[in-house]
Amino acid sequence: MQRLSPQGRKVIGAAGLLAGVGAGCALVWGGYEVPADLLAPTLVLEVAVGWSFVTVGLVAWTRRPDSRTGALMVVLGFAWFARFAVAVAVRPAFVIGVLLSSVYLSVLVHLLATFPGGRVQNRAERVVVTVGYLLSAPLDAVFLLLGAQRGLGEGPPPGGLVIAARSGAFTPSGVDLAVQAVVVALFLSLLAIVFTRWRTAGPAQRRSLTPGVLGGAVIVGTILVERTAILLLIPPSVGVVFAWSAQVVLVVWPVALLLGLLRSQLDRSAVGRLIVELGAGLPVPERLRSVLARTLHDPTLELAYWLPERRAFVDASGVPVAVEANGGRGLTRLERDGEPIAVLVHDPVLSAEPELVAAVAAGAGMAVQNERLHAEVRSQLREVRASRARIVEAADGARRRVERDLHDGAQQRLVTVALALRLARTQLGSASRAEIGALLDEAGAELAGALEELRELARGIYPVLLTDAGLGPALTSLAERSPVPAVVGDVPARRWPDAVERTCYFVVSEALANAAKHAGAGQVVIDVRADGGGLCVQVADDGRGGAEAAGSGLRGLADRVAALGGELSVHSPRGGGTRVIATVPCG
Amino acid sequence: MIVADDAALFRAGIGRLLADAGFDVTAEVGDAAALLDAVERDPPDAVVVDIRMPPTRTTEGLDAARSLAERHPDVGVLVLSAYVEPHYAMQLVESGTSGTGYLLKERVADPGELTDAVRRVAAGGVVIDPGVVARLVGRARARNPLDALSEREREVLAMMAEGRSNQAICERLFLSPKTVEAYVHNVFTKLDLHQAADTNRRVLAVLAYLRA
Repeated sequence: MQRLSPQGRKVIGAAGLLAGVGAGCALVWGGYEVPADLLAPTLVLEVAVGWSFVTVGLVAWTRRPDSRTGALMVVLGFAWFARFAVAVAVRPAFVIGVLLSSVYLSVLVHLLATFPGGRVQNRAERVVVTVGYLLSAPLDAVFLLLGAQRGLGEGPPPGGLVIAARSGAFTPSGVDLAVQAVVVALFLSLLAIVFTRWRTAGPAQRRSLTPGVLGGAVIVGTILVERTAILLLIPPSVGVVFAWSAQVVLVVWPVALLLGLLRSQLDRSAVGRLIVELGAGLPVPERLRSVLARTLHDPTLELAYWLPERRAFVDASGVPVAVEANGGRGLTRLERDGEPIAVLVHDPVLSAEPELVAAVAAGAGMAVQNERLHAEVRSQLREVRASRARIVEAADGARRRVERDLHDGAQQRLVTVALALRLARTQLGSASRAEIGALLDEAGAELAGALEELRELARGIYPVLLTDAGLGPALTSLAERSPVPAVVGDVPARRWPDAVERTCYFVVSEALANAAKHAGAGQVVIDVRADGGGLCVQVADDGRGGAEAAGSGLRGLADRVAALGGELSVHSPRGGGTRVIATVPCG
Repeated sequence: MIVADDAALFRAGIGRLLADAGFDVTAEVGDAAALLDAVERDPPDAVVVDIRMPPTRTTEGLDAARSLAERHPDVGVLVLSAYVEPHYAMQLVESGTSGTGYLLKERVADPGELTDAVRRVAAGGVVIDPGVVARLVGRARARNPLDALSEREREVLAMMAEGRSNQAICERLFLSPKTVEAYVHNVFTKLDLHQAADTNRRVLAVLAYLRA
């Protein structure tokens, strides 16, 4: 809705005032006889309802220009007064009065069905709103033209201007009943729409919906009973009571609607309290979130902090969280100096009040920044803990492998040697020299095998060549033993700190093993170069790719590299080979 | 006899050794399942089984011994192992009714050691490797009740733990049956142990005592 200018507000306000006065005049001097005892209360109530809608509607329109509800309230007020045309005892006025007699109800349906935004948002709402409008002026026009208008213009018109006029002998026709049935169905659907909206709303949204929806439901409910009374042939005198109460509610309802619309604006005072609350006590991870949730009246509110280093959002305890505008949740990004620091995930209704959220965010700015730093530390701590656990795990795994290799390899071979020697010994007397020779050969072969296995094992546990001769010779030796053809480029001849050389060696060793075991590679190229003060090692194979950087072997390498403050990256597109790059700083 | 070991060379060697010693080796198999099948087809007097075999290469031999004790209590089971672990030996003795043994693989190099063990197991006796017993006897204890024993008594205790009968102890230590009985009686009194009904239960009692 467009913003209401002060000028426009004045004009509309004056028009409303005049319309009210006009309606009163029509009622008193219109020409029809109104029972004296009913005149005063009717007059007061009717005019009060109209003025209430027009004035409160103007306030709402001014304060919440983004919602159409205020405008709808103003229209409802005028439609309310327009009914009084029928009270003027001239034919044109009668026609106009009849045509406009129930337009206010259509507007009411429109308002309630689309509260608080004032805009039709789905099919069900559109159908209800459209039917609501069709049932008023258009239907009345049809009745007028066909001469089937209820009451046929004699005596007080039936539009319900004066409630008591309904009393007396009124026999509803079939057409009347059908129309009323449609009206009842319409109101029931309206109640269903409103109730569903209220039920599915988050707590913050509910807060703004409740007063308006509750009042609306009471009004619609009383109208329903009134209509059903006619439909079910209940004496109209009973319906009169309901109609009166509906009007009383109608006077107050606009205020309830306004309350709902302005609820969050009233909450701005809460920002002050927020700052006071944040100032008190030490920050704990959950506190900032709960204080914000309380201030914004959204218990489901979540805070995610941006870690620029990891380019990811984490919660207060440092656990990574996915932040997306899904599930109908609203997102508000908090920034500082153009850099994101956090994001608020909240009830979508708060998205309609960016100023409030922004005010709260600004109030909590320092606390959020502080909490973000805490979250960053916690996140790093988690990562370090996880990495430490993985390193221990890896060490245990390595020990297990060594035990297995020893037991199934060298130890088994030595036992077989012992057995062969033993057999040779027992057969010294009986068997031929050739048989004993075969046994001794067997023993010799097993011993050689055991020696070879022990040598491989020892080298796998720790590459002595690395300490003795440096990275170049050690990598060349690795390449020579690799089952996949491997080429080592020029390795700078200088020496680096032990830990750096070891880490680079194991990166190459693991990458070579992966290339042989998983990649089905035809060739591997190893490249080492000095990178600033550190080393950069790259191992590229031409295998099938698709290696998981989170796989245990590569993960362990990443931990190893990270322990020295370096970085390991793995590029392994499916079918495009695997490239493992480790950058290790020195010192 | 049936021999079960996944290392083919070693298995064949054991088979030959047993055959040379006059045993009739009816089958040589590579894993526990094949062993159970072979026993089912033609129950032997005893089986020699490697503790660690496929598929998991952990303690398949012990599991096989347990199954055999349930289904064929008359078949003696000698488990060969590379581990000097009293825990495994105890498990074995506890699972079997009789005729069980736990022997270190390297004993195959000692003339008579393997064949003696197989014979005893086949006859329903219990065999615990001397290395395992030595580990138990020799372990450090805060308050060592074994200190109360004389050297000879400790020797007798170890032999009992290895599963040897009084008669076997006589032969080993070149002592008279009376003397051995006196030593055994002394050991049990000094350690406050009850005399067990038979040699096998004596092994359990002594092992349990040593482990406690």
